[in-house]
Amino acid sequence: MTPALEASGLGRRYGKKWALRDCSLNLPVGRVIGLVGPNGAGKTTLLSLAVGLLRPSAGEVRTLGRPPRSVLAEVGFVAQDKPLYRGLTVAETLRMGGWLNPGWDEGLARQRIARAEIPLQQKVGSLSGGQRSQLALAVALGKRPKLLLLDEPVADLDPLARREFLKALMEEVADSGVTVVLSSHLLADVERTREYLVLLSASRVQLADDTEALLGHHRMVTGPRARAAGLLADHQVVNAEYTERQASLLVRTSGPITDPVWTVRPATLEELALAYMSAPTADAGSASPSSQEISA
Amino acid sequence: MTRLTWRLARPNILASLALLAALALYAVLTRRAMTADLDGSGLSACLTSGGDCLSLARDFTDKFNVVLNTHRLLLLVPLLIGMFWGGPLVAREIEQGTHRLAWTQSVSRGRWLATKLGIFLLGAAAVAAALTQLMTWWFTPIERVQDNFGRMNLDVFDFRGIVPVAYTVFAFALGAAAGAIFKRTVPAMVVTLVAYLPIKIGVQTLRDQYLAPLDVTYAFGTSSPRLGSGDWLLSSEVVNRGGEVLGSAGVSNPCQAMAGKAAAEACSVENGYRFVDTYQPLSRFWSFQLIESGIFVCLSVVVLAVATWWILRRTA
Repeated sequence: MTPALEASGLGRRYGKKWALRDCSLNLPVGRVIGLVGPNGAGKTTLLSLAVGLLRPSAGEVRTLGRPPRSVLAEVGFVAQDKPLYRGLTVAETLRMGGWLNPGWDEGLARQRIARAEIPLQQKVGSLSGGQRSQLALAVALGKRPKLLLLDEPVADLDPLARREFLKALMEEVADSGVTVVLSSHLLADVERTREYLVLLSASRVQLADDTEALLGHHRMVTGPRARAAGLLADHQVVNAEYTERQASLLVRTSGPITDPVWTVRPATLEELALAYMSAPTADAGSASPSSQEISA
Repeated sequence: MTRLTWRLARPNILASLALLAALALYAVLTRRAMTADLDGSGLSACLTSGGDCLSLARDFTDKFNVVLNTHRLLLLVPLLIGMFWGGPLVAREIEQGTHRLAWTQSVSRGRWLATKLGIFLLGAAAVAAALTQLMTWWFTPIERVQDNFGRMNLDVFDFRGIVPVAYTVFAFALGAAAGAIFKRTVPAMVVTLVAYLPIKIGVQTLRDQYLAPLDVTYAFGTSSPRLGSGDWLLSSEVVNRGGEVLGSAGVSNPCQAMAGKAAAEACSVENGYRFVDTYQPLSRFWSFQLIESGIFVCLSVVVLAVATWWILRRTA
């Protein structure tokens, strides 16, 4: 099956600074994919490369198996600041969707706007942040895309609008089965929606996998600090926090941990994300920080 | 894409139409005043009869001096279109982030650009052509009175024929390219202003060389056989028998010091003095229009190619 997004050695540089580097990804279709990372981690850069707004400085990216600019009719994209023409009314903005997209589904877009209770004759410039986001989403969905790329769709919304937006999005996903890539700097934003997690930090991909699989592979382990070295030998420790006697380790397990000195419990996604984000020198995708870095 | 371009251009079109209407009104009112004055003062009748109308003509030009001077402001029309239409064309989209909306739709970036440029270029050309028509009509009374205000006159040439369209297209192209490259509306407008004027004036300094100028020689103390022909006089010189140029007419008349007209004439005949005028004849008006328009169209093509390349390849 053609991947939704495929990157190999993808990198983008601004002057001497890499916004994204060595990014190799293969995101499956038919999923809701959370792209999580702190501000400046390269999320916007990755999404912009995926829709051809940027060109790679290194490597290659293919969207739905094709070069990004050739596939735009099948991709809905909402940029971070939800760009829309402020002088147009809501109705005109929807009409614009039809002018620019041959496969435009006016009915679907209008239905979204009606559900969000946005007056059609209102000027875009006078919409609230939440309404603007809903309108931008309606324009993206009206294209009937196979892939929907949303860059920080809820970052500037209040909690209520945030919930409404995500609810509307999930309804749509359930209805149409569109593949969604949703970026956020907060894991909580994508918590309810994610099935697949991509973790970006320090311009690199730290983690990219199915959420269930990720949770299955990782354990939170606590126990005596003196015995930590033994555990390091058998398992990958992603992140370690020590008190004088205690060690709290997030471990990528390669088998069951049977030694009774360790207390083992499933890791939460939040712990997982934080652990990988605080291991910034990990190689892209492989997530194997060396033991020196952990003991340091 | 065409419909979106029209919709987004609507405020701009309305403002431009209002300005054009104001200009047209001004032209109609002042032209009516001028024709009324021509008839009322008897200048019109005098010109038809071919008598000496100098003082009447002077009264007329004194009266309408302000009007005569305002026509120069129309030189700014191409510049204004370049700044206010060309400058924001791409820059405003990038400034407001809407390029991220426009460039991720099914319509390709190339078609987006082609449609925008196409519609605005046609609009700019239409405005320039309409203004040129208006100016030509408006100018007829002045042309009757002042024969040195013919179509080849440096000031008048710029408002006639097809060159205003070419200037406007070029200024627009400059604005659009500057907007694409600098990505900000105000710097794009400033760059258009700073780049257009020197190029326009630079090309104008070449104009007398488009075709080799003609010359006419005539006796000292007589007036040129080309007088009143509407030619563009480039220079008028006094030459002696050996063909040596002594200076410009009126400045260094070597026989000036002679007492009395007869003595002066005798002096000049003795030395073989004569006038040589260098000029571009009125008949070359359309050749010159075509040459100058060609220059600006070529420049526009180059600038638009840079803008297109920048938007399709560099802005990524």
